[in-house]
Amino acid sequence: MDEKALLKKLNNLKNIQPDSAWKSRYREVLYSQISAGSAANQPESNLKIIWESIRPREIFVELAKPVWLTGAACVLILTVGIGGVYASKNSKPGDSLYIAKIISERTQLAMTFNEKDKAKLGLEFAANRAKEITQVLKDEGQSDASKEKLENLAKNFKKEISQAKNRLTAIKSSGQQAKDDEQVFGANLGKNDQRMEIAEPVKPAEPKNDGSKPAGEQPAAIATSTQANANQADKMLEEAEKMFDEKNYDGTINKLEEVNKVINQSANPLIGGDDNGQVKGVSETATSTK
Amino acid sequence: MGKIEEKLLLYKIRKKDKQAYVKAYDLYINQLYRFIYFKVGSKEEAEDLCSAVFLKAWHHILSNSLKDEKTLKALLYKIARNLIIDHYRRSKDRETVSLDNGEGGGREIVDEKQNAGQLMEARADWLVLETKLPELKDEYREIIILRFINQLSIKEIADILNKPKGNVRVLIFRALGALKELVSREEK
Repeated sequence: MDEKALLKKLNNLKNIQPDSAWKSRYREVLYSQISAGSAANQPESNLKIIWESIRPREIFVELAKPVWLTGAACVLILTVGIGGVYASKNSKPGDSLYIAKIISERTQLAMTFNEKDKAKLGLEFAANRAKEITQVLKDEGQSDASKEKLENLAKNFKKEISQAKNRLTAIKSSGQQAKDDEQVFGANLGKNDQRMEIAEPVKPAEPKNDGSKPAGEQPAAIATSTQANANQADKMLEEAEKMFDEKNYDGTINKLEEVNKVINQSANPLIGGDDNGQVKGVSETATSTK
Repeated sequence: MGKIEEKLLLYKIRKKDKQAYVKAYDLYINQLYRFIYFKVGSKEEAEDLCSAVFLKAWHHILSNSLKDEKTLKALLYKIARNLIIDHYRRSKDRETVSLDNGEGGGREIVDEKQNAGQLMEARADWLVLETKLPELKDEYREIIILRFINQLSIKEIADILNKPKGNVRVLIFRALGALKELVSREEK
């Protein structure tokens, strides 16, 4: 007998079935057995079962799980990050959170693209170093352990100040550049007017009596004031440095705050002032003469 | 019965729907009876064990044990196997157990739908195999019944026997080889 024939014979054996009378008899017995002792359940419709099996809400929850998890992770990271930064605000060298403070300062600096703001941040950080020195002196005195910390802090202070100075110099030079540009631009505007007047003679524009300076002079004046403020800030920085050398840390902190105020007052046309609008206005006036 | 219908039935049974359970009885009684009958070899014992299987399975469902099983079929077969083992333990003369003696013996081949030709063929096949199946090792006999008589899938058998599918395939191959050898020896 080959395998095929054997399998066929085995397959034929599935015709062996229990006695049908016994089957139906036992069906009744089974139903009565399972019904005894427990309340009869209401049969459910197939549609309801399929609906319950699909469970759209569960599918939605299941699908939304990664979103929830990501969101929760983001919130956690933000909370921990912001909490860490706030907690580290008053830390001093040697504290576990001091590194977080330094990292947050570096991040702030990296995220700032405006030179003026960078200079302000640099001064703020220098003031922080001065504050840390006072804290270290207050808590640890002039011990050997604190000496190294104080030296490092002083070094960092000087570094921040020198960087702030560099930035102020950059602001000053950009102010000067702006002044030169405005002069060249103003001169060109005049030339254009002349040419247009030759082509089509019109009434000369009446000078405005609103007391404002002529358009060409205004940006130059702002650039001059920026330069003056930058010079003043530079001077004050030197004073602050001198005070720091004299170990007058509170005075240094106050001086640095004053420098910050001076920088705030300065209006640099290249650093987001409202003066661009004025220049634009001038060019529009020139166009309108056509 | 399709797979979806089977799943619906299982869902209803999980919810302790008695009518659904009776429907499952109608669905599985024949194959379960065959499985038990070929293992114990007696019609009466097979009927007794069959009824015990269905009753025990219902108690499992009531105690929420069905959650562990993927299908009701697997649960029924597992209970049947355990009851058969208990039955073997109880009967002292387990070694002498054979399928009912005589031509056709105590069993009845009942299927109202099948024609006389098929019936005759089944009877003839039975005569060939009735003496050979009991000679096989329990393990081999079981797998032959599950795979070639009740025509369960490898996955279903693996679920019932708690064995990896690879092991089940090897077992089927060996069991079939052993049966072939027995039958060919008889022919010689």
